[in-house]
Amino acid sequence: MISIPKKVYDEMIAHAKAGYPNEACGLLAGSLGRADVFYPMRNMDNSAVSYFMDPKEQLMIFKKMRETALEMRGIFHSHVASEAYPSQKDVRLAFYPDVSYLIVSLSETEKPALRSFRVFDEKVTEEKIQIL
Amino acid sequence: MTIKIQLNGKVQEIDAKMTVSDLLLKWKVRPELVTVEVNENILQKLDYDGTEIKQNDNIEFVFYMGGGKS
Repeated sequence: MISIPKKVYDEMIAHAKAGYPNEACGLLAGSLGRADVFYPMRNMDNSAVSYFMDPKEQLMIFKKMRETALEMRGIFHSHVASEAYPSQKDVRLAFYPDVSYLIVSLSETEKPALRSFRVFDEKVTEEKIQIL
Repeated sequence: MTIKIQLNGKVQEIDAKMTVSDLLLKWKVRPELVTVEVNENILQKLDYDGTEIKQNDNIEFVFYMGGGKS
């Protein structure tokens, strides 16, 4: 399970909507199963069907997390017209087994559907999300 | 002989004269899946083999993060 404060949830959804019609992405950091901070990231693909984070931005955010004694808890992106479930590409590019992979579907823009998964060895397991 | 480096923010002791390629191999990291930074400079993959790691080098690597509906 991953716990997310409502403020952080709102930031994720707002970032996904701001990126629409393209996919949006971001990172979540926190400690002890909580994701207390959301870092909106740039989708270098500028695409409605894919996302790719800027490695330079990743490095910068990872250092920032360390400086504030936070750990990466989640990797977030949006699917703009399909369900919130990891695609084959999502699974193939999931290299962090210890973090949550959160996907929001904006197929119903006014009713975003957020789900969270763990991906290990290309096996996908859904986990609960607790909004605090 | 060993040297001390910072790897993703943690002090590590590694064999002297290792290259970035050697380090990734030691950590079982596929070079094509990561970005490597040495002392704040992002390395081109072509330079992994020829970059020898030195005492007190600060090395960061991150896996690519991407995906999407397609």
